[in-house]
Amino acid sequence: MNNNRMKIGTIIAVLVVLSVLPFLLDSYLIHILNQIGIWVILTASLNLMVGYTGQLSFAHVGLFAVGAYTSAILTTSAGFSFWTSFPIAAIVAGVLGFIIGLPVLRFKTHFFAIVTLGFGEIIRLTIYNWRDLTGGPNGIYNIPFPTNILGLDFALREHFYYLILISAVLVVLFVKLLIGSRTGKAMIAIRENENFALFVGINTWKVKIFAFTLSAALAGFAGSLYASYNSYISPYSFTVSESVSILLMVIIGGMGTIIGPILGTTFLIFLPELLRSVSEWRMVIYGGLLVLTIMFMRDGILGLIKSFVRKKKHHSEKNLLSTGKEEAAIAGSERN
Amino acid sequence: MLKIENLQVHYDKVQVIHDVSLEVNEGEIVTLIGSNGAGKTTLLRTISGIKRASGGSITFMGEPIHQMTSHKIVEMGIGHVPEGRHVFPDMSVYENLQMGAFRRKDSQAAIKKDLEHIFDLFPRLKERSQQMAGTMSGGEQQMLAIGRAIMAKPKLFLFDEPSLGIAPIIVAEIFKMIKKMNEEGSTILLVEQNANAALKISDRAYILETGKIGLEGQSSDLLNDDRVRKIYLGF
Repeated sequence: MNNNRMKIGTIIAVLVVLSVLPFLLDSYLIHILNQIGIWVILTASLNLMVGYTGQLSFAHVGLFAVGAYTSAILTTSAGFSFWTSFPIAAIVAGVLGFIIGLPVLRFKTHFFAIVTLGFGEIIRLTIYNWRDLTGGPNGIYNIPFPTNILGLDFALREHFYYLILISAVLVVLFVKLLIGSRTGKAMIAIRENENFALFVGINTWKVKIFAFTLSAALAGFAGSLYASYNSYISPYSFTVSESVSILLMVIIGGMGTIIGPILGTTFLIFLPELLRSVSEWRMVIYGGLLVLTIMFMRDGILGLIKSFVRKKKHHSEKNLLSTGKEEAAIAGSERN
Repeated sequence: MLKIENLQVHYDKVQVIHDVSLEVNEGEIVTLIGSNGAGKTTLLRTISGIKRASGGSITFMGEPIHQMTSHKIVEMGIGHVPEGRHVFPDMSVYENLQMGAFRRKDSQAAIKKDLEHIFDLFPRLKERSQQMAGTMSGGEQQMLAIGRAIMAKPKLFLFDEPSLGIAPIIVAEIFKMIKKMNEEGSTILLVEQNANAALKISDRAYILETGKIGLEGQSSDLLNDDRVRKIYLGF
């Protein structure tokens, strides 16, 4: 109970700090925070598949691209406003996710990973070659900012920040609620043991296609924000190495948790900024980090923090003759 | 209650179940004995819809179920405890038991009451209710697997080799539990290699030999049958 209250208190404090940041930070840092916010939505969507349903998807950058291009085309050539194309981008990505999911989800484990990798590339190459619609390798320029609402001028990074913040918070909250639901439990059961989930009476196929479609829609949602925020997109932003990057964010942060991917995203977006001077080593450092994470901290950054907190707690409890029960309770609350 | 007629099952081109007919009546413990590769597990998987039959029929409570999907069959009231102590390793014991009630439409209160009932049956699970299932011993995991099946409130239990790879003292406890469940009204189809123990607690038995029913009858008769004694009991 007390623990819960503390959690809610921390979350509110973090949100308050986040909402005043534009008054405190310079435009460059706000730009980085905006990137993080967009990527948090994308990694939350990927985490739904990889972390909670246990399906390693490489197609998400493709679905992110579909959202970005749908939104970009609608707001430039078709003259729609951002506010209409924003949901449409999510729907188009979701529908495409469903269509891709039908064949792809027949595969399991690494076969699934390889087939999704293929679909991610098909999407990118289609965008690259469909010049009339997508501008091909030149990409799409001058994507308009969202029109002003509530006195916010989205041409300003500091104002766009709030749109991204609210979207990211809503998406993360949505994922959290979903995971607590019956469907969320079924997703986790599939991750734990897909075959056994059948014996329990879970319609594994239905749950997987639902998770994939939803997660595709969220990726499209992030793509739409990305397009309007940067006002320029090209196929070069949606390559396989981006797929690897977002996967790293989820894994390094701690997959299958709500906070983990947020930490991972923040860390991996800040990291290259700090490593500007050695930027050509970026992928080498990423690769090294992945290996280290998998070998030494399988629960990611979040797992590291949790085990540190637990050790400290354990230390202080030792003096109070801690019972084994509490240990077990802490271990029990680790996931989700 | 369960009626299997002329069942045929193939893995690709290899036929593993040939023309099997079998019946389980309400309130019975029926055991299915056979050596490795006889098709016992396949037969159970076909009943619960994980594997498709290529011929014949399975009826449960008067309804044909051999075309149904596995989650529908769970809903119909068949609870399958698969071979090899399947649990969700990174979920707590408590969460595993709750997953057992996944298909039930009862109120939370009713489910909670059944959870308490499981904890009465298996006090050890209560002690470990917050522990991750994957960190328990094999015997404890098997108890959890059974508890999870009970949570679904099935009309018919399918047990696939509950004694496999478990310490003898726990095996005795598990068999006692199965007997008790039966006395409390559950119908049970038990697949076993441990023929001696299975024949002792069951009412009737079928012997499966490379996909065919070799012998069937009252368990007490089979226990004294010379051929059964020689091949399956070893004395």
